[in-house]
Amino acid sequence: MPLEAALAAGRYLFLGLLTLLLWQLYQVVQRDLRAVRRAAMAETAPAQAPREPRLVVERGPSQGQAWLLRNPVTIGRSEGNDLRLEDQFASSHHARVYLDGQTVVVEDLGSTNGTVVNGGRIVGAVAVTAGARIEIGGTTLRVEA
Amino acid sequence: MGRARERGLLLTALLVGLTGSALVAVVHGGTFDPQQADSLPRQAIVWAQLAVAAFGCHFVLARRGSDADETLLPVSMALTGVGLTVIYSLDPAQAQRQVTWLWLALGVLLLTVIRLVDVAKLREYVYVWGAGTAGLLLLPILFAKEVNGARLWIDLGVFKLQPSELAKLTLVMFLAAYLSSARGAAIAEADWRPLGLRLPSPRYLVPLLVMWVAAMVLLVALRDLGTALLFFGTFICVIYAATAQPGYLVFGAISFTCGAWAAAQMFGHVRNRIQAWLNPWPEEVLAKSGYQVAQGLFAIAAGGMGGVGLGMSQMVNPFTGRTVFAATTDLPFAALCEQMGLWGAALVVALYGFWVYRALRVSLSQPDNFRALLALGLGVLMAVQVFVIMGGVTKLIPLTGITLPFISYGGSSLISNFLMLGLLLRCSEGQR
Repeated sequence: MPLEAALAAGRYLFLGLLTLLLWQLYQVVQRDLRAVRRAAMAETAPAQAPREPRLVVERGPSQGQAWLLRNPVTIGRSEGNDLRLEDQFASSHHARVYLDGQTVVVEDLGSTNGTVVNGGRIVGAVAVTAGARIEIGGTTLRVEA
Repeated sequence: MGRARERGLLLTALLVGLTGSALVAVVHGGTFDPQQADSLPRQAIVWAQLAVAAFGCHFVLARRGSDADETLLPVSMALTGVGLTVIYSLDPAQAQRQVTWLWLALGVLLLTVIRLVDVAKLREYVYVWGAGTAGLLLLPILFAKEVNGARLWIDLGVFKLQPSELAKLTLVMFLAAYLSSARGAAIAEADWRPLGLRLPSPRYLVPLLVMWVAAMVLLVALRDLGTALLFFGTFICVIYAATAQPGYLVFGAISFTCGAWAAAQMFGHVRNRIQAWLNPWPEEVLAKSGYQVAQGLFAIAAGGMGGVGLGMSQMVNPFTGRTVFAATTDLPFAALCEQMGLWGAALVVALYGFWVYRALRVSLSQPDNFRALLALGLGVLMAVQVFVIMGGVTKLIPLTGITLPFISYGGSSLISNFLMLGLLLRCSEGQR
């Protein structure tokens, strides 16, 4: 009987070893697939989270300051504006930048010296794209998306 | 990193073979006489030698920091181990010869792995491979004697050579080299649409026709349905992969079926095989071609879930010691199902699946068309061959006498399989 028991044990040892090999191979595949998935994620990550439109002060006294455009950003000389300009060429309620759906809109609020977008003076509200430059007096702002 | 993993896998793979062979030795009487082919010390020596050879390949790769695929060598060695176990259980004397062939095959693998030739350079010999394939296939037609109704072997006195085993490799090299050349690329431009199917213009169909004719000549001259199916199937799959045109698959399948049907009408040998496939049970069929099929089916049925145990095959007659005809070459899958059961057989099928998956993975990572098609062709060749013989044994398609890679007895087959492995390892280097 001990021989038979040994043979049965050997038989399952053989099948067990084969199964172990397949399990090891399965783990190699898992590791490969994880690496592929990681590589794919690294590639698509920036595209998956489109950046929210922002308004950045490019040049001027408050250079570097930035706002997300989910709320309208008001610009002017008087108190209560989001961006307060100590600039004699700025009106007290000079301009407003806000989101209309996905588009960024720059609106001149009837200022004396005007708002210049991409080198041209605007009248009323104008839709702009990412990268647009807005000049008010001595301050330059940039729209980023 | 990858090589360390290979070491672990290789260890398990070799243990599979050692355990299997040792069990067979115990069941066969468990003698300790090292002179006897299936005694325990003998098995230990054989597996120690094979381990040295396999780890030799591993260390050659590790030494130069190669990033070649780390799973192909262990998977192939595991299949070899299962094969040697099965052959030991059926015919110890044959197993001893198989060990000699294994030595040669591992030597060939080692030669491939030490970068004797640059794989990319093989592309330049496109017509050598074409002519080589034709030549190797012609050899048995001219020189071979008919064995069991098929003409496959050339008797060289010392041993018998089966040229079609090497020809399948040269065919894949020819296809890869031809289809990756400018002329081959023209085949991919479909501009002829008969019956709404996109096909290349008739003059590019010429290679397809040539191949079909060759397959039919093989069928007629070698009287071998399996080899013809293997070559034609591989050809169709590779040309489909190179051109992405389903028309090749459709026309290939139709033309081969028609050819095979015609051959069955004309040649008794092919007709017998088909008869044995459709119904092996009538007495007059069972007495001839149906016998092998029926024995295979009985063996598979006897195996059940966990098998009858290694070395306890009923394919060996306990009174005469004789084995079912061609059991070690044509029916090792049936013997394997019998001794290891569904469990073992499913694992073996999974190992072949894994081999093919790795080959396709290597193919996808190749920067140039030649090596991509070469790796793909090797994978397809393995898949088609395993399908044809396993399908034959399980009576899904007519049983034909081709080998089960790495497992069947046969030197030509072992050497060409390890050559395939070596080429694949070389292709997979430096591509991550």
